[in-house]
Amino acid sequence: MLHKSTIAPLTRIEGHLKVDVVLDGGRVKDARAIGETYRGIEKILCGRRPLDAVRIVQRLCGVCHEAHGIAAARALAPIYRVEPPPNARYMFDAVLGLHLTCDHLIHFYQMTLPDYVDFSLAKDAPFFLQNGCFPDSIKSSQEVRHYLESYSRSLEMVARGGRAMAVFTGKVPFGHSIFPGGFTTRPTAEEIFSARENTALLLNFVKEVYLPDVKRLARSFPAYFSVGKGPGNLLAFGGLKALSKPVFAPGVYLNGQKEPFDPKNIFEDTKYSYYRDDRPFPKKEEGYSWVKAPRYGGRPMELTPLGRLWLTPGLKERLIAELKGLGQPEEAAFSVMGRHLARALEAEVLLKHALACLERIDPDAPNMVDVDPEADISGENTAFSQAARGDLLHRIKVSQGRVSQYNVITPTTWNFSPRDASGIPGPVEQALIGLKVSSDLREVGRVVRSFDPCMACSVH
Amino acid sequence: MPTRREFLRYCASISIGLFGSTSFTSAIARGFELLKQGKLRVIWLSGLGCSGESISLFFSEDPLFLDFSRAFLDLMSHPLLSTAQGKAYEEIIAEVAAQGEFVLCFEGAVPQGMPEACRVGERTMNQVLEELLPRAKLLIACGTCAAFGGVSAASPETGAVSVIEFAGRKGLLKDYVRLPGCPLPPWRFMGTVAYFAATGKLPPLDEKKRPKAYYARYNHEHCQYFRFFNEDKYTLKLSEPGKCLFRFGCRGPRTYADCPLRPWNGGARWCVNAYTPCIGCAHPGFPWDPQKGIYQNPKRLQPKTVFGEEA
Repeated sequence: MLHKSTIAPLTRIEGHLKVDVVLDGGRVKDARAIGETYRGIEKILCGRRPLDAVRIVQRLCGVCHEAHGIAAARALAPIYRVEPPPNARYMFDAVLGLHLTCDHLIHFYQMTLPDYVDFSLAKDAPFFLQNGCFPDSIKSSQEVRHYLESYSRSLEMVARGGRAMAVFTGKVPFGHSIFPGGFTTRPTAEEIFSARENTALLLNFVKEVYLPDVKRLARSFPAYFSVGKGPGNLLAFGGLKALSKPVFAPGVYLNGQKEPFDPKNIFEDTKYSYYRDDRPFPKKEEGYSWVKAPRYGGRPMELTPLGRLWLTPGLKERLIAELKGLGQPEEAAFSVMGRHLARALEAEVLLKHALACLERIDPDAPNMVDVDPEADISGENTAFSQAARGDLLHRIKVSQGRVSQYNVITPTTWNFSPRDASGIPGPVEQALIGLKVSSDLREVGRVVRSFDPCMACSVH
Repeated sequence: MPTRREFLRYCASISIGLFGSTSFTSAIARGFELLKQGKLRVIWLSGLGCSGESISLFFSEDPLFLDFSRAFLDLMSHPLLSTAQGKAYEEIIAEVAAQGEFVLCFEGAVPQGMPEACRVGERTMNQVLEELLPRAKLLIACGTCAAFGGVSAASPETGAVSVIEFAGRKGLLKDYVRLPGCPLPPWRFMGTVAYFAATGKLPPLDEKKRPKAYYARYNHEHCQYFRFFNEDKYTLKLSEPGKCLFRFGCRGPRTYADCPLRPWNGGARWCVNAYTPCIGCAHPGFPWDPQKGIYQNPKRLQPKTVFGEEA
């Protein structure tokens, strides 16, 4: 007996998402991830000056605020013929490290935990946590208390991370000090020291609370190490290169084999997306999502922290060792809990890198190379950056001082892509197909959230 | 439990501590009593936007968002936080709406020209708003997209407008507050909500319905570099401390906001003392005319040409 079921809206994510599933005897036979919103930011940028683009692309997403600004600044630097000084390179990496960690904390504690812990059993839980809990959620009062305490403390840590970032970006979200030539801010030695203190505090929280909490949750729900695999193809662009050894290596993981990454293989398909001739067209008959379908050599790819770790020698081994500690095989990395674990491990790596970068900032050296806001420049470039949910690509074309084309492909565009012209479902759709579900579809929400969807980013 | 007399004495000492006299004792006591009666019931909705306002609140350090919402709000639903999903989530909203007496906090714009560009569940955001607006006792437009249209309304394709304009066109505009800022800094939201929760009425507003406590003056008037503006000392280079950024196209002289007074992220900075010009993110004109752009060439712009239209 086939029947259709849906979660609309799927909450505890950024933006508007709907998931349709076709069920066959308690198993997902077919799935559709449906992006429900369109803003048209790429078009807004055309005809504007390139520096405006840096400010406006930050507003693509309030969750990935600094990631887009940094990607745009990197894309524009060679077009302006400037190279950010060493201080700026350290700051870019430190800000990204802090930013991604804060996002990981919000994703795990505020967005993921309510899927697994019945907070309605805690007397002082806020109202929004009290309704809609699931029957198989953790119910022991001691456990619930523990997780609720971490839930509150994580927001305190996020605020600390924000304070550390604002030393360099001026404010968070949307730091206006980020330019192609570097940072306009001139932090003093004391301020850099305070940023280091806060980063160290955050690192301590990640080691003492976040990572142990992820493992604790994973031990309570071991079944989630074997669901939500998806296509098993990973893509990472590499990044955080301020120090001698880059933190993340670029690479492609296809059919169990590692391959070198070539940006030329990226293509965006729109057969099932609401576009016609590159214009929005919500009445499109075969269309079902605002998200486009990027493919690498025709294949859907997963872009998550799991991919970043898996493709970087050293980090992959670290992840496998942690899995082993939890009694799980290597393949368990490609799963709901595998992704959560990868995120927590990544946070530690990111913060250690951020601390090392902060050590090297010289308060007396320049932090930026100036650019003329009205320069009559032309050129095109592609730049990569990291967002919390995966790796990010910005492509910009400038002619005579004006943006003539802007293209953003975010990790959520890859992960939540619809089918492509050859009918291959997107990674999340594949992760859902075959999933055994209960009548409340709680398993669907858990699989979907393990990809950390950010819908405003994905469509822009 | 303190006795009534003790309670009033506490209120008097708060009044003395804050204002230097006991004249606000009864107002403070009334505030505490209102808070005791029941917190504000809030529905938070995200429209065509980026959730930047929610994230900005999550980054609030003093007070933390969770502490604040525990003290002042009954946050009934929030798209980034609610445990409930799908139908269960929609039912909570419908239930709260049916009881009335709730505050609607809205971030993002509304795609009036292309309703399909923002859907919640099986309905468009336009339909959800048409249902909720008549029942809300107060609409708080959080952030520049909700207050004036902002970046989302810069797109001609979606025909997006601010939630205020949407409500006005549909004849559904009752009591409302605009809290522009991209993103909205946490203190402007928390201060406004706390005022409403403790007094039962809106704080004093300007003609655009922005609370005067945060939007009565231009950023320029509070700016640390106002002195350099007076002395005609302008920087021609970004990242140069101690000179006015006016010639880069600073929007401080035209933007009503309080950034210089209450620095962001528990630190000491806002844009201008991060040596980057104010881009007027709380201004109705943001993100500005595409031709003129956000930044200007400082060598071209003449001093004392105030940039940007009247707010």
